[in-house]
Amino acid sequence: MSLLERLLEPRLYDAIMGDLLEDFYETLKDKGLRAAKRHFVWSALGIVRHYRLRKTRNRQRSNFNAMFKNYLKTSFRSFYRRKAYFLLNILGLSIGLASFIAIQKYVEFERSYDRFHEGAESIHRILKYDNGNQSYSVSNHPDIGLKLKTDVPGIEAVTRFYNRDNGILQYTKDGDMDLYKDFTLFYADKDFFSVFSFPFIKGSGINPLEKPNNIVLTESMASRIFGDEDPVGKTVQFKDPNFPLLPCVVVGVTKDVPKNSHFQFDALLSLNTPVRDGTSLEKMGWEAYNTYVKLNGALPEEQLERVAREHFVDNSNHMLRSQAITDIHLNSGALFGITENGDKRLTNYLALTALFILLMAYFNYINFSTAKSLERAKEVGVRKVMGSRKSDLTIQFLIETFIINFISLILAVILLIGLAPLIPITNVGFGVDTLFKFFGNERLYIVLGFLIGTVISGLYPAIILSSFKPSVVLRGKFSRSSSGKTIRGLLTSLQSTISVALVIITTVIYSQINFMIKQDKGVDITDVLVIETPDIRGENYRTQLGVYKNMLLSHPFVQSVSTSSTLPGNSLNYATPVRLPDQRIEEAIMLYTDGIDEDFIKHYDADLLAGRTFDRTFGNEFDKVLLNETSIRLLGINSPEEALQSNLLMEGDTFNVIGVIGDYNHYSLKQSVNPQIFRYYGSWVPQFSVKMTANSQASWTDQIALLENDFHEAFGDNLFNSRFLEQSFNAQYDEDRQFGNISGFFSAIAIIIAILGLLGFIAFTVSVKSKEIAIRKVLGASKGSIILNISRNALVLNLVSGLIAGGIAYYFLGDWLNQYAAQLNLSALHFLIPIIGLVTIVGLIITVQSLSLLSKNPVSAINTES
Amino acid sequence: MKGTNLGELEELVLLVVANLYTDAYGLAIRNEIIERCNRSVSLGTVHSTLHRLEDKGYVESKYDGSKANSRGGRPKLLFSVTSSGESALKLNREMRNQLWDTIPKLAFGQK
Repeated sequence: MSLLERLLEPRLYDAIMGDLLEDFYETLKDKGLRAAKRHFVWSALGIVRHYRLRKTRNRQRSNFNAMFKNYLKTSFRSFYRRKAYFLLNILGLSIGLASFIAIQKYVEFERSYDRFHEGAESIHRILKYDNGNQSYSVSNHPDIGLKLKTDVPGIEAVTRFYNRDNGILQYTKDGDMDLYKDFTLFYADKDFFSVFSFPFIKGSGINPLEKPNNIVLTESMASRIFGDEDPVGKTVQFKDPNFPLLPCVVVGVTKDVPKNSHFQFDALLSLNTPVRDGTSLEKMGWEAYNTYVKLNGALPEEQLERVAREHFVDNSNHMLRSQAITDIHLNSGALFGITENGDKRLTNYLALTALFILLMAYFNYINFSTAKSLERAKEVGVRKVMGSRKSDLTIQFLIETFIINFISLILAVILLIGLAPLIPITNVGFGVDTLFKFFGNERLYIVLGFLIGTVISGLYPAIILSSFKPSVVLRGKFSRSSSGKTIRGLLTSLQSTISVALVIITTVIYSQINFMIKQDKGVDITDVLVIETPDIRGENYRTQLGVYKNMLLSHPFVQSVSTSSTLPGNSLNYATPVRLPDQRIEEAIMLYTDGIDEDFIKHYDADLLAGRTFDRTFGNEFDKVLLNETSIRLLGINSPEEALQSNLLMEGDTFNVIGVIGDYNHYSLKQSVNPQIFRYYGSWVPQFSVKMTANSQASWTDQIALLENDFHEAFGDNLFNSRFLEQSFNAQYDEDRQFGNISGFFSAIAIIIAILGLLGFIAFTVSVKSKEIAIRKVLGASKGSIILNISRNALVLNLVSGLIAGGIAYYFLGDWLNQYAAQLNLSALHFLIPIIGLVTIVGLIITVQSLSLLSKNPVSAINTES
Repeated sequence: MKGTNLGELEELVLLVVANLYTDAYGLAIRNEIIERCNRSVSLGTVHSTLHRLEDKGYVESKYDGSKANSRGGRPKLLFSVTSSGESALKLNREMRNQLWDTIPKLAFGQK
């Protein structure tokens, strides 16, 4: 019945249905129910067979099909007739679309951080806030997590973990021991998997971290160690640099941590594992735990405050804050983030760039198609005479735009897949599968966006084109359309504005990065080679270290050798409260501790502002410290000299300040200098830092080989690892550089599109004026004056757009530069060069195009009737 | 559409509609054809033919507004022959008669 209702002409439905039912009841009387039913169905199907009785819509569709076919045909004919124009349009649009998709993918990835956890909105990170120096820290005392769990209603689960990325895993198989390093291990408590969602592929997911000495590996870590073996149940040894060897049983294997997680781990070790003398890490009370909670509802702020007051009894400056996990990647201000965080502003900026590039491509399409309107005018005229309505023509031109857009979209996808290696976006792939996933996820938005794009690019030209009056067009009185001239000018200027703004911003980003790299850091890290100390340490390790240091120094190409617990660019991983004897305990300042040796200052060419550095001739020096300028300022000491008279209270002992080191940038120049305190360490450090002679760079490979020989002589079979410090230090700018590259790449595309647009616009302007030029020439105007005359308007227009662009760029850049501790001074040159560049390009294009016109015989231009 | 010629089935249906006069609706027409001409036609065919005839302007239709229970409360669509339908029928008949009239007597006796 419903089938009939759907298919039948509504007017006939009642009659036929009535007939069928009457027939049905009669058959029912004669032959019984089953026969009647069968009869009914057969008759009904028999009716459906007759197309004549179906809805009239069906007959209309064939009509529409014909019309649509005609539109397709004429569209393709017009493409064919003007191939160059068609190709230009397709090329511009597909580059625009490809850029848009690429950037959108990047932006989507950046915004997708940490959303893969189940109930991600209810997961929060607990931060410690210091009201004194107004800084946040993600490192908390382990008790805070415990307190939150037991004392605060509304918190469903709490997990704490401690990050260790310089441990070593040992696995012994058939008597062979293999060492694995360069991985990140978290000491995590048993609720880790109640808060986060990392699916298991092997082993149990039910509280795998509840028992001590249990270890969970990620898929790739497991295959690195075990290959094809089943790791579950196997025992590995974990070496934390601070503790003796820990035996661990593999209880499970999880999928690899997704790239869009703000923390990355390769292994998880149960937090209650006894690390030394039966004591677990948790009991050591280090303030070093990332703490995350999963909430039932809203976060009870006042409860957080209560826990803070109970915990920080002696320091009212310390508070607890929470941050949604989904905010961490793009919205983070925490001091010790686990991995480098993204930047919301930059992400938004890129999203905006993507939109602008797409719009510019659409503008070009609009400009080209309205400028070429003359060629379509006759077609429009004839169609109108044949009875086309204006709306029909509008639809026709929209369909043409749709076809062009569609071809461009396909081409854009092909371009993306083909040119993926050229795109400087590294964290998202552009393989076929990822692209289809992209199209799969938001199919609706994409279809919608595509249609909106078609309308944006097609509506205006369609209206312009379909509004020609046939009487004017067909009488041949129609000359080049000046309709839409203002719009075209406006769109072109907008393009210029956007591209100049992008150029300015990109160059400033690059200059800022270079500025930071070249800026005086306060220490000299050029030509410094870092050699890691060995992992397997025997009984005479201490002697071996001394031997090796002497071996290093014996080479003529080695200027000096220093040992320190951390290096510029590496993390300062340990901060401790320090105060002057007359200060109360809550006035203590957190200072980053760094162990150095007596050669450190000379080696890195740091400034010694007052006092002396460590010197073994004065004794063992273990109760002496050096401070940096920032530290003495925070401690309230007025001058370096005054600092020398001070004693400091730290970790229950009193220390003498023997010297003050000038501030140097331990981290990149994005950050301001951290307060540091230096203690004397022997050689018990993770690395040697070796200053090489600068003038022998060419032979460095050979020299490093020599050092490696020595290394094996001193330490036997240990792995030799070396790197240049400057490289790893500058790697801190990688993210900025990637951003610069992305921005630069797409700015270049924007410029190409803008120049295409300019070319089209100027070609049109010049050709419209061809008669005027010819007449002027005949009347004796010089070439220069003619060119000046033609270009005056365009030049002024572009100058204005350039100035507007400068304003926009200045506004954005001021905001962006503010996040850097060491800021580049914006000079007028940053703005003037791109603007002058734009005006020069415009001038050049006009000159070239009008010169070719000027070299022709003016008579032919005047003679043409167009 | 083949002009305004009446097809064989169309002529039959048209004649039946005229016969039934005030009660010419789909099912009645079909039953009449089955009974009087001893020909089995389906309801769909009848409606389809009626529709075609209406397109040609030979019949017109209107709902009678009845709500008989035997029809599931649905009205009948009653058809009546228009004057052009009538003249088409007459033309057909005349043509046929003419043809009959001019058949040579011997034509059927050949066997």
